Amino acid sequence: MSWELYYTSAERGVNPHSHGFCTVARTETMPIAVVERLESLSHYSPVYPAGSDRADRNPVAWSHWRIPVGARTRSVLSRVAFVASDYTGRAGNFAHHVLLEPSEQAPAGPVALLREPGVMEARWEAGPMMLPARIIEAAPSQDPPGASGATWPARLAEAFVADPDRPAYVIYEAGADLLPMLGEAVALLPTALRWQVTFSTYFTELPAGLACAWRCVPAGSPAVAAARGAPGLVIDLTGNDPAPV
Amino acid sequence: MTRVAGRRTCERCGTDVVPGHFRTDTAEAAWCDDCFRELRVATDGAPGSDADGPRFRCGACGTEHPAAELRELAGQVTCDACISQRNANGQNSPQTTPEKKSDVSPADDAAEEAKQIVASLHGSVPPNLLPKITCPHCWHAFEPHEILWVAQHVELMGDPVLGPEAPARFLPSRFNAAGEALDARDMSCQVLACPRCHLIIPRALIETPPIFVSLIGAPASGKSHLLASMTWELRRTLRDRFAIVFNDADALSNLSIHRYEETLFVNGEADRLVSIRKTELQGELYDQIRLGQQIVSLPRPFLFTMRTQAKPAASDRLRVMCLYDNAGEHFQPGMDSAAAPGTQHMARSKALMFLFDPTQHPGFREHCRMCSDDPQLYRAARTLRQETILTEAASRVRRYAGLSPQNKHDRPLVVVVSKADIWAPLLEEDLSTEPLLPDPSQPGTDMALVDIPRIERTSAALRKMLLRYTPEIVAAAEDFCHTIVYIPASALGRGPELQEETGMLGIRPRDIRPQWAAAPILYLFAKWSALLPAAAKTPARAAASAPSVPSSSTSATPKPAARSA
Repeated sequence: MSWELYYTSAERGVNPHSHGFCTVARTETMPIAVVERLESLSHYSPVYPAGSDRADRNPVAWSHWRIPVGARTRSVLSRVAFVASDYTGRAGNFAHHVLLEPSEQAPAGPVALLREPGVMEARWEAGPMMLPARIIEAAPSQDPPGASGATWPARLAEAFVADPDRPAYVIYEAGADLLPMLGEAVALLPTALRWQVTFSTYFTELPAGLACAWRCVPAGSPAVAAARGAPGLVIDLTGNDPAPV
Repeated sequence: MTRVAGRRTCERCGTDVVPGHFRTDTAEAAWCDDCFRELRVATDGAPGSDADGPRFRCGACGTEHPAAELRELAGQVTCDACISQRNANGQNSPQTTPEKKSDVSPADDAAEEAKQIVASLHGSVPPNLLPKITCPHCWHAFEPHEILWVAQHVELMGDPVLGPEAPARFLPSRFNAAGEALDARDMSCQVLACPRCHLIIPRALIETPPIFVSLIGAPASGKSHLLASMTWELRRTLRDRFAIVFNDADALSNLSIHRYEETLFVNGEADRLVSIRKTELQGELYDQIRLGQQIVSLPRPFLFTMRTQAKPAASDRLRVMCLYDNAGEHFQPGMDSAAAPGTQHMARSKALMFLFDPTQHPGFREHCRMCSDDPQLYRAARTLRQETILTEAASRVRRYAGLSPQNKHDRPLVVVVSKADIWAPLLEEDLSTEPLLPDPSQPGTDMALVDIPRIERTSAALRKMLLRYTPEIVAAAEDFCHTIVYIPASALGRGPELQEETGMLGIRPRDIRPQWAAAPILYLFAKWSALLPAAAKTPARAAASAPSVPSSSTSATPKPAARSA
């Protein structure tokens, strides 16, 4: 049974007295330490500010994290996105996290689950509430290796197999959807490694105590400078990469 | 889970401590080594020196003392009387300098050698090195020799507190001739870090203790907008009217406030609706560190130096002010935890500022509607009891500072009533000019005095108005602190506009005219420090001749559009 948590800026949260940025719904049995950890993964820094003509190009941060829960490490699927206006009329964000049981980890890997309809939500319309634990159904792989014709997913997969601890960066134009390509890269990994790879389609900074192997950085975000100076694999999809992609 | 025998929980920070790493006060409460050390170094009425704070027994005679009156001697805390007695008996304390060479201990030898090394360096040790440095990130107080350095070599990555991608922190044993520490790859290092949280300590803080000022307020009360307007106005007003340079002590740390200022005041598109996004509880305004098994999120401080231009070399003319932009959610009851101790700066603050937003108060809101059509008054009712935020802040300050519930806090509380452009007609005080007067001692210049009498007169009128519309705020404030001043402020000088397609409330940068945004800080520094000159009383003709500075940038500063151009 998986646990899930919805976090946004709202007039009321599930905790008494809570409003503003808060958890608006979560699995009732989720331990408080896990709640705090998932809330800490709900940050979003827009590339384009509210009111900008390009605010709708702010990327969705699709992520797979591995967090310690007690003595075990569990996979968390996250979707964090920009919200142009919250209940106060100010820009905010909306985050949905799903913490999986090992039995729910589909062989196709985390991207396949992220793309599975009904797994990740883009909004929470109901009021604050506690939720029952739910079972996430496994999905078949959607991206056969090489389906897009791009070669960089293979380079990502190779880099991870060669050194899982060395992060790889992908610099891209905001507005592009990288999730299908990451799905291809995951599909190229041996089945045993697919749930070991962590990633974020909009990486800003590394959360304390966690790893992120594949870091996708939109052009114009502050993390680009760090990406360009990184010692590992750097794939630049914006046309500034001297090496062929 | 098995609990280690004798393990206790620290009274202040709540961490678990094992025997040998805590002190017990006379009320049997445990204090971890760090918190006990902070109690001992606290001065000038800060936590620890307070007569109502915790008391500890002298390890030699058993008498009770505040922590600040005790010293470490042979592994136990000892009062001054016992140390004097011991010295009189011929047993020199560690602090006593021996007169004969034969009495010199190895530690004294090392200190003497260190002095000789320092004397031979080309670089200089800061002349005003503080005996105790306070970290602006985690508020840990430590001695200068404990400070860590940040490795510069690219291969020296990984830190147990900051994670594998942060440069290593180290306690140096080798220095170059300029006094810079050398890392393990012989690179000279310049950046300093706190020994507890390993976050960077700006150099200014090793010579000047920071003046913490805490800004408290409910979500959406306008804290970030006020901070942006306040710092922007201070940069201009202190320079032009007081010959004080108000600058960033650490530009990297102040990056977020730069973005706020750029959004509102240096925006290339002065006609486009803009807003400062809602402050989050994670992200760029915070640093996450790992203390043991605990991930702790600490608010990133905004640090500013204030240096008088008249005597730039005089070290006593330098001040460092430290502000924080906490999310309003941090002040909600139940939001203070070991993982997010983000509001503990309140107990260290020289002054507290509570931002009260009248548009979130049901009764006040109704009265505001009679004199304003601001869209914030007409959106779906968004009201909350803001006195609970102040009450919660008071209880946290009491808890962190070890203050008795019987006593009021001895630091000033400024109740800043925000969005004054909406409700100013209810006050019947003119806020169109800033509370400044020409300095009569410098005729023919723009130099000014802070008009303390005018601010206090306005405070009295504002208090009267708050008592009429929201007496619970006045009651909560006056139950918390001895000294309270009520100051109106408008960060933007006018209400926001509604962007129909997104529902966003924004303002056009060209329309921004802050009113009294810097007044709280000007008042604090004029009233309680010698940094700013204050007018003792308003000249009789002041009002008639209207010598005060116009509010905002209407005349003294170019309009934002012109500035950005």
